[in-house]
Amino acid sequence: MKACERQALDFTQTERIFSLEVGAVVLATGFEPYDARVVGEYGFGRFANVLTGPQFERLLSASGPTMGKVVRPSDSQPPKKIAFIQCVGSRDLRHQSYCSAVCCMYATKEAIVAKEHDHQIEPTIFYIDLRAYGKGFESLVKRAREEHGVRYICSMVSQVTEIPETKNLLIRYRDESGALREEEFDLVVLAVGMRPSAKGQELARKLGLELNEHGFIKTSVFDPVRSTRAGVFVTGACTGPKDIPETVIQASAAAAAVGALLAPARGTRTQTKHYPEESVPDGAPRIGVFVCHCGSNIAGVVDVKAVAEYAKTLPGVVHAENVLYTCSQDNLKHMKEIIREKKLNRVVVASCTPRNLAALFQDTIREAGLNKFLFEMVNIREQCSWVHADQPERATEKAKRLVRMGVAKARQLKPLAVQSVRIAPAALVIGGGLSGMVAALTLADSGFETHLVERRAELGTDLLGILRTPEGEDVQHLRARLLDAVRTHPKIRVYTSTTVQEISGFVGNFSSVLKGPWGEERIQHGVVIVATEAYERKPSAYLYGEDPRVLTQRELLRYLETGEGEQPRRSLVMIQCVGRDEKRPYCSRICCGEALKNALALLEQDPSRQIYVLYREMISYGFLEDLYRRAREGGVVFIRYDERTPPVVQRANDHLAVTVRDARLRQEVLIQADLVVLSTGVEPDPYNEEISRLLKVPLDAHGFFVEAHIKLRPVDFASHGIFLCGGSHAPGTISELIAKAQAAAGRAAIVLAKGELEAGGVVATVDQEKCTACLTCLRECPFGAVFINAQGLAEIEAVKCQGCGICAADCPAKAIQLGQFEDAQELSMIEELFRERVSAL
Amino acid sequence: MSAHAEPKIVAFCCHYCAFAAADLAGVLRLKYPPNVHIIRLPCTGKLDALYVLKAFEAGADGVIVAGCLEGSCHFISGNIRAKKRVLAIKNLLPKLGIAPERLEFFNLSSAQGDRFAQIAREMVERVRALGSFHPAEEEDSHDRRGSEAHRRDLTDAGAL
Repeated sequence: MKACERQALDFTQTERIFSLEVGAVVLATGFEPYDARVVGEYGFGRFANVLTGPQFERLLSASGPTMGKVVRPSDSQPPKKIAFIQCVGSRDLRHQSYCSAVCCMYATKEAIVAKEHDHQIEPTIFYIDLRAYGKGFESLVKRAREEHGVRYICSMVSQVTEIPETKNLLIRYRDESGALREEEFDLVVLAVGMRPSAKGQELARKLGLELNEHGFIKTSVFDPVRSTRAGVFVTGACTGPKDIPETVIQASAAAAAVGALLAPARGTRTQTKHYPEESVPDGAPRIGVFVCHCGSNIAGVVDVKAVAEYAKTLPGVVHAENVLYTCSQDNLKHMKEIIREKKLNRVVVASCTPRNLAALFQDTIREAGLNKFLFEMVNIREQCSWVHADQPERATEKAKRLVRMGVAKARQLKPLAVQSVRIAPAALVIGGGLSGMVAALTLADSGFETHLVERRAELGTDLLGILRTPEGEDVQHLRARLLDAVRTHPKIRVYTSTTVQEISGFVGNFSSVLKGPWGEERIQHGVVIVATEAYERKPSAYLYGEDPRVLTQRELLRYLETGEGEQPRRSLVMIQCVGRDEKRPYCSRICCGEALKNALALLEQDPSRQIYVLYREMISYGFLEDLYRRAREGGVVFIRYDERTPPVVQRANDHLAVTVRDARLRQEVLIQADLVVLSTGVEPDPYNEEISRLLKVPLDAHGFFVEAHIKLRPVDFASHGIFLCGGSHAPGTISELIAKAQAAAGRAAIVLAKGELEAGGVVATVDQEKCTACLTCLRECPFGAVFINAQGLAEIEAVKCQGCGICAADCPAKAIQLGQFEDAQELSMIEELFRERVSAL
Repeated sequence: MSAHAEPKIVAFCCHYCAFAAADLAGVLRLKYPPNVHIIRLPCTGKLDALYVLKAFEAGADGVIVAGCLEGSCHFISGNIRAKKRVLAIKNLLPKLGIAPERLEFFNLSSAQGDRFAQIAREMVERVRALGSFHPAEEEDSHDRRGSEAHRRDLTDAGAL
């Protein structure tokens, strides 16, 4: 309280109860890391050099207890050998039966980062199944192995003991041959899993929500963000273990579900802010400079008064002062008064980083009638006082130079126009599979007209032939329900046997030509969602197509559903990861769950059947782990094979002979099978190449679309107004695909709900007098914002321009300038920085 | 030239990564010499060769260009463009009598505050070892046409 110069702290505040009237509730209560002390055999809490994964993550962090230096807690020495033990508390009936879904990858990441921090470190990861099933995970593990030298050992660790003298740790484990081994490590990291948060459970109970058998909040497979109570939505790890992209997807999906539910009330409780008319600066610059103390954050090092006094001497400055807190409400009011009183037409604030508060100050000067781009911010906190605290005099000199540069730029600043562009309130959804239908319904329920385009003759063909999800839900019922809802929704127009011929325009105003059996039609829409799916790959190995007793999992389903086709008699072999090779190295994520479900269904029909599953890693992540356990308990034999020695299938007299080298036993096993079922994975819709070309959105090496950010923006393309979902983004379960489709619709609805969007501001413009139409900008613009106009010269679509300035720097004729970063402005800063020196010459 | 003078460094930093990393260096209270001055660009792709040449002309002893990690540029490919451009400028510098080591391109993420501080310190040390730079006095071969003319050379050579 004494420390706060603003007297902003009020210690007399007590708990208050608020009453809010809302139309929906979203729970995002998260998870707790599993308590490693409960897993006694690994010695956490007893041995100094045993840490949990989250603790190790802090140790690696630059803002952590050792500033990112990896040291052992016992002696602060850098460790050489580090062991990661997976599945601590997970996949273990004594603790929690499910797989926590994220630990294999966080351990891999931590091993790589540790190695990057200190090349001496030798990480070893002890795992049961390496579950690298997410997008890009396969290649990360490959890099960890091959480039960083991370050692992976498939083994369950039975015990960790401490060597008292050295505090090193002895790990006892069984290697793949079954031999018992002991190895000494300097540090052990326990990859603890996720468990439901106790506080989250308490809140869920208060709200009357059901929990599932693992204590997470219960949702249904087909409605992954809806709780058991109407109007209450749930998102993220409070519904089960999830990684970052899945969590982000669910968050957008929950927001979309709320948006659809409350669509009739949209905008009814919002207020529009009104600004005074902007005065156009004419005549000489009249600059006001506000130098911030930031309490003692800046003033404790920099002589802010001297900086403000110095600012007064700079050309164009008519007002300069030092302020205790520039961002405080009373100062913002004061700033507006000064702007009016002294007729300022440019404002410079010297305080913290513009990344924090530039928008606040820009809004303030706008309230005082100035164009918001007549503002420059000088960073004298993060990039001055905080890094030069030991040299106050030189920090003050630097602050003066930085202010001088800021004022020089301010003198050159120009007002920039921002126009409102009306948005066409409709959406185009490309792909009428599960994802396309869900996305279209979510958008239509939110009140937006939606055009759903499918090049095949019917919708939902990706769901054909799937009877049930691994969890047991009826997929054909879902399909029928979606088809009916899509066909009867007044806001949805369905186009089957239709392709998109052409897409032009930009966010808010796309114009597309659709071509179908009925001819061609042009539609206007504000957003695009790409929702194409992935389809089962047809194999070209293991006698598939040559022998009727070799099937894919989907073909096996036909027998399970109808009793038609080849009979699985006594003995059946399933081979996982078929066709997964150099060219298609990715994990298809869904095949292990499908195989487990089918194996259990076959056993249910006839428990005497002998079923073998030949696998590389069982990807039964999350609650699917329960199916894996049930299958093992039911007598299914699981044999791990190494990808370098895949199984061989040969025709024998009355059976198929399957030979496989068991990676655990290290010997060949011969199985006489009546039927061989191949898990072939999925591959993205080949139509994606056409879509990629039409929309200028990128595909990766395997034909999947590339999102704006793999973790944080999983359903956005980098280009504004275009979103993605479906199996062509990445393979996923039905439940995951539904959440992803809802998420994409939710992101798209944000654009549409605004009604209009701002264009202009910090964008590039072409001086038509100087342009020589060399097309450099057209080639280099990453966003396709450049076009050649009727005069044959380059022009930039302000709505599409993202303001990077690549074109401006590339333009050989210097015909392009980027608003707020014009060359004259930048060069004047460079010149001002060295002014003392130049004048001294 | 005077070897003991404090070298002056300009750091052109992209808004999304390098500038943010410099902010983080501050948040972490890391230290680097105060003669490193940051100029914020939306993207290193905005870095005009002219800025670098102008900096040397005006009296910079060293220039840092710092963008996002490869593959995570906010503007997709701006950092790749910038890297090529910096390489082209480095090739030109000896002709102007400027040691190419005075200019360097770095990739860093917004989470690498420690790396930013390290880069700043290392660049100051590197430039200090080279001695402060004075184009007018340093080289006989110095081309006095000015930075705008050199930029045109680069453009004509197809380097930019």
